[in-house]
Amino acid sequence: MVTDLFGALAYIASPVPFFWVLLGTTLGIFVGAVPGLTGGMLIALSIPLTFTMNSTHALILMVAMYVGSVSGGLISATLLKMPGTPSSVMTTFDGYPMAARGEAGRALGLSIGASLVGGLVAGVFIVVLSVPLSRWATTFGPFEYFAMVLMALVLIASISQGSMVKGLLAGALGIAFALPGLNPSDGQLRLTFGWHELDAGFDLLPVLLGVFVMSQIIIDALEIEKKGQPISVGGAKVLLSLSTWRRHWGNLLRSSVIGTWIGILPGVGASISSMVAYATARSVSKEPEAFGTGSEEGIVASEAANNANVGGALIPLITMGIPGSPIDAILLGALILHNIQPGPLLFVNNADFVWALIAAYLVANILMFAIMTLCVKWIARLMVVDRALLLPVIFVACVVGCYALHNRMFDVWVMVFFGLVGFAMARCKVPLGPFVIGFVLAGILEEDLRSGMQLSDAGFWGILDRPIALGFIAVSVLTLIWPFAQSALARRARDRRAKETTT
Amino acid sequence: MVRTFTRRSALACALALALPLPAFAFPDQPIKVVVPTDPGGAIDGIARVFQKAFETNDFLPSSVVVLNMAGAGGTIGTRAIKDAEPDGYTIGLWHDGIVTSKAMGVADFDQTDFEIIGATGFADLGLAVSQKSDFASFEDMLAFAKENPKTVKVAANIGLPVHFVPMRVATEAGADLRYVQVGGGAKRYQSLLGGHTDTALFSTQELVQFQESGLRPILMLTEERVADLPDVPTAKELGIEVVAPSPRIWLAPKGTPADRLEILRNAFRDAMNDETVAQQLRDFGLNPTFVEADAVRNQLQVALDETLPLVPQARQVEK
Repeated sequence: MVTDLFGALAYIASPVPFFWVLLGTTLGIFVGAVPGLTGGMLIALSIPLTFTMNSTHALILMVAMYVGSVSGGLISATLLKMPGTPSSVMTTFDGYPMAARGEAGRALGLSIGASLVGGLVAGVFIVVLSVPLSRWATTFGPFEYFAMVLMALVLIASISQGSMVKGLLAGALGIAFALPGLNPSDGQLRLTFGWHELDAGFDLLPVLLGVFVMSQIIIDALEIEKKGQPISVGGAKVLLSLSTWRRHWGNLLRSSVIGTWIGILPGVGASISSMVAYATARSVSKEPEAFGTGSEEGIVASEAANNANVGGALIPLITMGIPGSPIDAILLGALILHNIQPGPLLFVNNADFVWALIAAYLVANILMFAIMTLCVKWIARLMVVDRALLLPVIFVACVVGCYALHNRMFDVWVMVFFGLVGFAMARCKVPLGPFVIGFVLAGILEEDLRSGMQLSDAGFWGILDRPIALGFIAVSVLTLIWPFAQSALARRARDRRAKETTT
Repeated sequence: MVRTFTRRSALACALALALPLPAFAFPDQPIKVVVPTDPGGAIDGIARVFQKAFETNDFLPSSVVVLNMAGAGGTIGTRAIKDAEPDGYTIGLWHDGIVTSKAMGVADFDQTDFEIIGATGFADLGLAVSQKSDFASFEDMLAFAKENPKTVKVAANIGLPVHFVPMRVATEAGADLRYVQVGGGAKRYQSLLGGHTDTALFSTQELVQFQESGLRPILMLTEERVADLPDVPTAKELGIEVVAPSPRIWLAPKGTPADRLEILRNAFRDAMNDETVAQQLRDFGLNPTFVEADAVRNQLQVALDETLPLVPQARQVEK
């Protein structure tokens, strides 16, 4: 394992792979820093551009973009009070107040350092957990996958931002759009209404580009005048002393582990990680009242967790082929397009490839730290780049990318259509994450459930023979019931207290 | 004034079109090759072998561009070939899935709706089990399957050749197996290794590759034993009359002029006589011999005739 890792690190250090990791990290930081551009957008757009690339190069590029984009968001969160990516929302609460009182350099330094630690802690988990997990996952049959995906869907619905109803609605909508086309489980066409263009259903890439990129283009185009006025970093020192870090190590470690763990849970994005880590940090803090007014602990918790989430989410992706977050759903699509079958056998058949991804992830975190520490002042200036110049280029790239996928206009229209769907959803404050995860997971969910039912005469009840699958189902049921049970319990306790006071 | 001019030029154009144009020999522009899979698969690889061969040699006076149009079991791509202008500038590459798509009702057309250029070799197919399997041989598995109907599980991609071909073998041998949707080659391999299913169909290339990492080939659906797997018996040796080669068929839209088809055929024949091309095809697990259109048509007809009676059974996989 250690030799595999070092071999892969040596590979990443060779010029061409290193170039891709550097490019990916830099681009990622850039889109992360510019409000309105996100990592999901960048990676979805890169898929068609990497069609002709060596698949290892393509995927290490995208992993580096992922790392960079989650980190870049902290710059605009701190200096503009606008989260450059959704996962840095929590950083705005304390990063901006700190910057506003003239400690911009220190706020950035804390964020960047915490991002590095979060990323590396998650990296340790990937290295240690991936091999045993994928070995365990080879015993997973269709019912286990079905139950695991079901658990993922329930988790997304219950933890997603905003109301659970809207999360469920978005997830259900995603599933609905996954239904048309050739159904692999019985080899028949479904819901195509005799329209042959729809025989293959809606392809993942145009849907992703539509929902993530096209909808954002529409939103940005409507607010093209809106510009932030960033706080200047000035000559402040971004690289902080070790004594600062010694003060925060407990928080760093805790938040990183929280981020990794939430990342591993399928379907939950980096924003949830930073929220949970932030909330936990506040509840154990000696000065919880400082949170929201420029607390160093808040910044550290948020940024360590969102970077750790990236690493954590890679674990189920490479060991089981289950995306841990919406961006991982895009990476899953990229793997399939590059003819790499994600799943437990990836380590057996493409061990070098997996280790290269892991090494690229680690190197990207270190490069991210170096680039951000050295160039944060210049990146801060790029944040206010005129979007009128960027949007047309991105739009053209979307159209070309969709057309190149299957060489037909249909996919371009699908992209435009889903751009409108995504725009409408954003306007109604319906989250996009559950939509995409629902869209991606519906196919896996159905195919595995029906495969399980085809395995024996017992049909669905064959699942009773599969303890692991039953365990996942139990977790899903508990997750669904818990919020209701919790509020019922709270109500009863309140009633009792009310009764006690009256008597 | 303007009107007469338009009429006159229209007439001139019409005349020009009506006249034969021997000066422009076919092909004088790039030929589009529609591949009904994503880039990277075996079919795509074969198309690119020929693209490269036509580029570097002078088998064909113009170049070839590969267009990937994946989806719906290949029917998105094959439909595009069928509906293209029949001028020889759009052709495509596909396999015996054209038969199963028609049989399952996914496509409303079959090989008779195309002009067949020929096949650039075919892949041999065979069945395999996991090395951890209790079945030491195909006969073991067959004996068990006959005693216990619907217990031996076949990992398949429902409605495609990997589903129908094992079904043809089972029907011919008098056994009733259970078919489970698993997916493409890598997934079928994973399912066998995990012990979730018992057997599955693979190409020789996959059999040789997966043999090193946990699979045991048990039956070949070929006329004779395969050189790469000399210890694996053929179905014919066991008295099961199923020979199922998977030809790599070059299709053109119906109505493509016969002389243009002949030019294309010659180009393929020449390319396959080239040792580099032949070797590249062998690397894809293909027998690098050009199969003439009539032979391909007959093979596909046999496959269709043997597949159609199985369709009711195939559609019942779902509980």
